[in-house]
Amino acid sequence: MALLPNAFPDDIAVQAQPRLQSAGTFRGLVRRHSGKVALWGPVTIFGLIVLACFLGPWLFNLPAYSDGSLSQANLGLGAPGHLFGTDPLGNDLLSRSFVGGRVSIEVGLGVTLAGALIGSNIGMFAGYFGGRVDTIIMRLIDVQLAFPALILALLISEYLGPSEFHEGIALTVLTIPNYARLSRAATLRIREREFVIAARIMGANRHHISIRHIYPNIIPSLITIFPITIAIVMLVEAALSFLGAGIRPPAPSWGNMIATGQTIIQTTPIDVIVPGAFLFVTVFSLNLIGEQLRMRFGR
Amino acid sequence: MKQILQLIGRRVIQLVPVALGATFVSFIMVNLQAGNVALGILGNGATPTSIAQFNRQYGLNHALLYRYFAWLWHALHGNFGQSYETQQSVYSEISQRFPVTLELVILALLIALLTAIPSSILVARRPMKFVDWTTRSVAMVGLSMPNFVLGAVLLFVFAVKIHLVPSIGYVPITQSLTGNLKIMILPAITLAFGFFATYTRILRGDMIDQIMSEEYVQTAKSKGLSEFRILIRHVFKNSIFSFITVLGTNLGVLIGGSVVIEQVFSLTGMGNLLQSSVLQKDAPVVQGLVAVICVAVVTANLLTDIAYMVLDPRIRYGSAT
Repeated sequence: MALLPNAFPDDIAVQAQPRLQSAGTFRGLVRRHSGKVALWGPVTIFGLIVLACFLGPWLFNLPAYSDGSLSQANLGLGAPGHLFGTDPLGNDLLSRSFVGGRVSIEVGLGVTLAGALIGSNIGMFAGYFGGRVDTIIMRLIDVQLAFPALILALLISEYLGPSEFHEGIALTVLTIPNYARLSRAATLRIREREFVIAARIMGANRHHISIRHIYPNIIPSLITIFPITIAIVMLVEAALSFLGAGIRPPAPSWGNMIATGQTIIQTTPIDVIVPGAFLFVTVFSLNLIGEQLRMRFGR
Repeated sequence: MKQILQLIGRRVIQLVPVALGATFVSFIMVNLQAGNVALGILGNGATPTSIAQFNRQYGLNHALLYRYFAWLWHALHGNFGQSYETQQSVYSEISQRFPVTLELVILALLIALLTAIPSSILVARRPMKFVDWTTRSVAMVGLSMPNFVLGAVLLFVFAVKIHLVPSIGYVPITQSLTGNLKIMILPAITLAFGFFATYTRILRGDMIDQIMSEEYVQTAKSKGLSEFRILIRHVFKNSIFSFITVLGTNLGVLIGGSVVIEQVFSLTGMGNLLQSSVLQKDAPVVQGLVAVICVAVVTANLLTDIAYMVLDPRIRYGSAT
């Protein structure tokens, strides 16, 4: 008994010393919180952009994104009433960027969810049943991957006609094979695990096993690539609108705003820089989130 | 050797249905999309006789499936049909545009490789240090930067502001090498940036994994080989295999990227042709381009597989599968 009280404080003091020291310094602060900041920093930025796009025009009482007057065309940075100036038609650039961002965010989230849902079911089906079904599905995926993604999206969205929904369908078709491959690989891994074999021995049918035992175990690996998929979908969406096959003016989207700005970049580069910066920061924050998720839960 | 030829043969046979499927799907899509072609092209001045004549000229009276096989038969003989818009043969339209895109893709690939390989070797030497951190940040920016924004910004800075390169006007390589390079360097750098990012991340990850876990690296270290020798002769050599796979599957992405880049820099390449013909619903041109691109991508995949077999001794000597 007499030894213990002596031993304990010594131990605590030895261990506590460096902790106290590093807690006081800036470096220690950075080291202890860098993991949290690396994940929650980009999450915050992405959340703020989403909020700004959907609520910004109303919150900051911005001018309408269309119906600007030509007398106010091509105003520069910090013009009265237009923080980031106006486009060649006299519309407020910031307002257009916010409203245009809605397209990117809606398409990015919607396509990723739809693609993951459809793709994971196809992949699980192929992986679990194997055999000829598997061969045919994987061969079809090969056919699709022989197409350059952007060109396929261009063809489909042009074929369906220009609208946000059609663009979403085109991009969903692109994301399906990636999720199918991922969940097929995960299914093959899980199929041989003890709990699946146990369920089979207990007489569970294949339907029950795939939905109750395999699918819940695929979901984590799907979620890990969610942010990166959203980022890629947003980039392709912007590229489609940039090429004139997605959202068409007067409806704004980051892609078509950049396309408009690019024709007059010699005189007013701000028309490219504002929507370009929005797109870049959004995609960058999503990629950072994806990187963190990959480091924490990834393969 | 016989084994390799057999494997290659099997891969070629597997690729035929892929190429057929891709051209078939695109043919159906492109031609359904075109709608009533004759009305669209001839405009308001169309008379029943001129429409009938147009349909006969382009063989539009037949069923879609028949038209696909007719197209396939002609395409295999080098005849891709005639453009609705310009009345030129699709083959000559594409062959005029082909060199520009080819040069753009090759230059971009060269730039990406020449920057990504040295920098990832440097980074693998000292992971988690300053150089590594910088390279990773640059790569992260490269992954997130839309190439049309980067292109527009580079064009603004280097062509409009400091007049280092001309902003417009393509010069064929046969006419003037320096003039051609001056026009092509910005598009190539723009296209290469994203690929630099991807390649650096893949190579870095693969090399660091090896250094951390592989026993031959330990052996080489304990033999006292220099750090660079280990990195290049042992680690990088092994990374090449997974890297080649990435390179082969990336050709499609490069071509897709060139569609956007050509638009930004107003280059008249295949991507530019594809974009304008898709928007004008010029089905024969779109179909021809899609076929050329599909065959190029499929061939690149095949070459990747072959390179893999020839280079990897485990497959060459048939010890593994």
